[in-house]
Amino acid sequence: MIGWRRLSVQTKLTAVVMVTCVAALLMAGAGIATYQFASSKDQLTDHLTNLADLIGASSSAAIQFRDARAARDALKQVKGTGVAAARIDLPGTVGFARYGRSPNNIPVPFPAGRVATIDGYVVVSRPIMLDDVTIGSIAVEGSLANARAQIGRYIGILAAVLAVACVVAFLLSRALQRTISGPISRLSAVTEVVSRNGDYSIRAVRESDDELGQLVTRFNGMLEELGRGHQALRETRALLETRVAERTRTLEVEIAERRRTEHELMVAKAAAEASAERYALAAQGANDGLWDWDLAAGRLYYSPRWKAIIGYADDEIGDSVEEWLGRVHSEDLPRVRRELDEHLEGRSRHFECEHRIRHKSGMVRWVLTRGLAIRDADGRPTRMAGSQSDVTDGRVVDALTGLPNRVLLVDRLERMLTRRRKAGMGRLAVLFLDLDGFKLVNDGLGHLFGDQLLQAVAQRLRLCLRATDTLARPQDEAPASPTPEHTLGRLGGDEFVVLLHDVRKVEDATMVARRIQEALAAPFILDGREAFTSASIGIALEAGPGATGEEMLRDADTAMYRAKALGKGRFEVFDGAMRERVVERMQLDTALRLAVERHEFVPFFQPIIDLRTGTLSGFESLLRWQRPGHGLVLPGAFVGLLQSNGLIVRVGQRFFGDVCQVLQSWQDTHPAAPALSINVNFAAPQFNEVDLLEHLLEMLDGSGLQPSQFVVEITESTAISDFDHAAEVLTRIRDAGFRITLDDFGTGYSSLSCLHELPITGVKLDRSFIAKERGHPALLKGIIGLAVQLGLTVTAEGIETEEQCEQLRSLGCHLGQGYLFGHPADAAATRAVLSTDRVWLPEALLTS
Amino acid sequence: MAPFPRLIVALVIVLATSWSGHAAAQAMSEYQAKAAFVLNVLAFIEWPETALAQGAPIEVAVVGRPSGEEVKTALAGKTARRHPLAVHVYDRASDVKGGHVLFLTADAGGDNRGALSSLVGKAVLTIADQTTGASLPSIITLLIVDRRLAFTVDLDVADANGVRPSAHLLRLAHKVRGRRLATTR
Repeated sequence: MIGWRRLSVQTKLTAVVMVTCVAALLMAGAGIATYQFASSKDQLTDHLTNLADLIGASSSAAIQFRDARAARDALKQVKGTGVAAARIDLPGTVGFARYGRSPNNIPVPFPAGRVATIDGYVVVSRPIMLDDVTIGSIAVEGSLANARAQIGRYIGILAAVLAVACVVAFLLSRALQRTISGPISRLSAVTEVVSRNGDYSIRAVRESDDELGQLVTRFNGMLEELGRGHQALRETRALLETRVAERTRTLEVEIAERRRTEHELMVAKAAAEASAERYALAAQGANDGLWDWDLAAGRLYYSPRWKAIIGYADDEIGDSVEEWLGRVHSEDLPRVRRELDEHLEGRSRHFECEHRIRHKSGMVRWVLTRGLAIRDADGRPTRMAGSQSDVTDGRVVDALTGLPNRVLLVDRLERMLTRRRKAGMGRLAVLFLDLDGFKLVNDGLGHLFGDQLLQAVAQRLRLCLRATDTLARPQDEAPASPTPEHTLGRLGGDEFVVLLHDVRKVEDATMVARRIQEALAAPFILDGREAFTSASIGIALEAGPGATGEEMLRDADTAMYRAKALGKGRFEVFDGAMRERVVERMQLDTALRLAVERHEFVPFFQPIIDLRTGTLSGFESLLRWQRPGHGLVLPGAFVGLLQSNGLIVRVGQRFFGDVCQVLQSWQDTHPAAPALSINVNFAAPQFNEVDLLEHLLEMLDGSGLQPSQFVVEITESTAISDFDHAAEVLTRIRDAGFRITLDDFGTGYSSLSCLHELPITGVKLDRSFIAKERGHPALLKGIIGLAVQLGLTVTAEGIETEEQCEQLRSLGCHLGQGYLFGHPADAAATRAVLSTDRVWLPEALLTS
Repeated sequence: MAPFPRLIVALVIVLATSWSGHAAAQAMSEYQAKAAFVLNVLAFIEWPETALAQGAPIEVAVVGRPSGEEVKTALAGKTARRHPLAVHVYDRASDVKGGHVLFLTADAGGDNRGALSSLVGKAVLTIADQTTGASLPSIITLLIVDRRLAFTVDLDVADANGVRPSAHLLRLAHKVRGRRLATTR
């Protein structure tokens, strides 16, 4: 029964229909067969009775005359009538005449009028009458074999019918399943999806108007109800979460505020009143460890919490000052001692020092120790008390290298700046390190390897700086100033920072920078692989009394960029000029943004001549900036910035629109002039614009201009930097009908084989090939020959002399531009060129 | 007639063993046996209804004495086809003027042929005993075949007289003459 429960509705339906069908057929078949058999038997009995009567009558004379032979002859008449045996008995004489098989089933004696079924035979006995007198009896037997055979045939037919009926029933049940269990299965599937995905928007499809249809409708109703409930629940939960988060933030702020207030209060109270009782009381309320140092007795009391911060039980730490200083990280100890001394000597108002301390586990914790000395009437400190907070928490230490992170670095920098000014010591210096080519290592060898490299670099820097501490100063220099201290930190990524605490002159800092670079020069062996790196270092020295830590970091960063720009693997010391350049760049940026708004960019045009015919082929459109107060600015001064700040896309679009307008106006005023083509330059960022082509076509739309009138110019480096992308975009542009020329051809580092893989229609030779003093005739010939062979239009730019022109013509160069033909000019001046019937090439060249 | 006594013995044996329904005699004379034979024959003969009304007696004329007397005795009180038998004995056939059955025994004298001929067309079953030695135009002729008492049927005479022997009877006949297909046993 469990098996039956597990079956699908579909299978159950099929099974019920099939079983019903088979059972009905079998019962009907059995009934009919039984009836048929009985009927056949009755028929046989009737038949035998009739035969017996007939034979009896026909043998009556034989009996009457006691003529046994005649009686046998009479009996022979049954031959072929299905009678197996017959016997005539006379009173007192059994077997007066016999016929058929012997032995047979006819009983002896077998009185007249009996019917019996014996061993598959029906035996009938009839009296033989003559004139109402029984003169004998005749018994005949007939086999039921025929009836049986008939039943056999019938069962065969029944089996065939049964088979057909089973098939029909199966098909019917499948049809039934489609109408009943089909919708249920789909409903079940919907339920499953809903419960799995929690998506209550799904609805089952109503397929019929019967009870199943009603079920689907109610189910959908239920889903909708559930969905509403679920949605309401979610909204309520979201609301609650928002409120909890808001409240948590508020509480956090309040708690932080309260803690800070409490701490200050506590220290102030401890210092002011030096009351041990109140001090202890305050200590209980704070999570910080407390310490109280009796200077006269030389004993230091550490609170249980103070001990707990570094992993010790109350009775594991004594009361000597060495319990504290002995655990301070060796790199931090001199600083801690000095700052402690400064405060005790009255040179600082508070003692506040962040340092590493050794935990019982051997690990290092970062703690912030603050304290205040209590002095006697003469100003001599008698006692000092304070707190120790665990500030490790992963917030101030870089997890990867264990170095101070940006937060800690800036904080320390700020505090040192404050202290230096008071102490009147040497200046602070910030060394900003950026590993060259780290991105390549990271991308090429994986982040894991990158991280390992960073750890190795950090370790090498640590060792190098420790050595530098002692080596930094020449031996002969008086050790008047304290040993220069440093803090090494990591800002993130491949950026490290070294804070030098006491720098007397610039060389102190540059020497450290040089040592660092030397230290990094050796290869790193990681996982059996060798990696090389170098660092670009920017150095910023404390500029003056107003300097802030963030400013120093920024300046060092600027200097680092300068170092990178000048060739990497070097260091630069920040100076005012750098700042000026940065400011200048910022001003230029602002001016460019304004220029875009005010539309201060104008197109200039330089003619392009068909060197074969001497006719005007078209113009190259060139971007010029009409900068107020500066006159006409050439693109070299601002395009780089436009590209880096992304404004190039807007400027480029606008520029193309302007060029279109100019060309359109020329066509209107000089309809007879031959179709001119315009070269337009495109920069790399423009190719990243997803709908560049759509923009171009949009601007052409309705202007009467055709894409074939435009030659898109891209530089080789633009195309090569993201080859696949460039090829894809350029193909779409070319397929739209634009021509494409590779600008500055020959200056990039592409392989010439790229030429036929880019969908370009022409190349423009870089002017350096043409310039007389640097020109290389053989190279020029080779390049032009190759381009021509690839079916590309070759344009030469920078043609200044007739000799150059002649040479290019003779080499098969198609087009040319340069001062020989004309300087770039604005639209109005260029229009004038169109009006004249100018001969562009010297007559001598044309005729040659 | 040398073989005759043996024949008698044989007849007696045959009839004694088979004729249990109609006679209980342990031993019969020749004409007692023939009478029984005749009685069997009557069971399979139909007369026209006009000649023999239902329940009416079948008039049997036996010709020849003393055999006739024997026959009369043998048939006394018998019925055939639900008709009682009325047996009359005559000396000569010409004496017989009517009735339903005429049985000429070997003792019959006179012109039997003429008498039989005169009865043609009348509904009379004529039976002649061949032992009379003469071939007479009777419907049924008794004879001995293979030592058994047998009979022949002349259907032409039967038709002429309107008397119909049943098919069962014809099947037992030693010979059937006449229009119908003659069968020979």
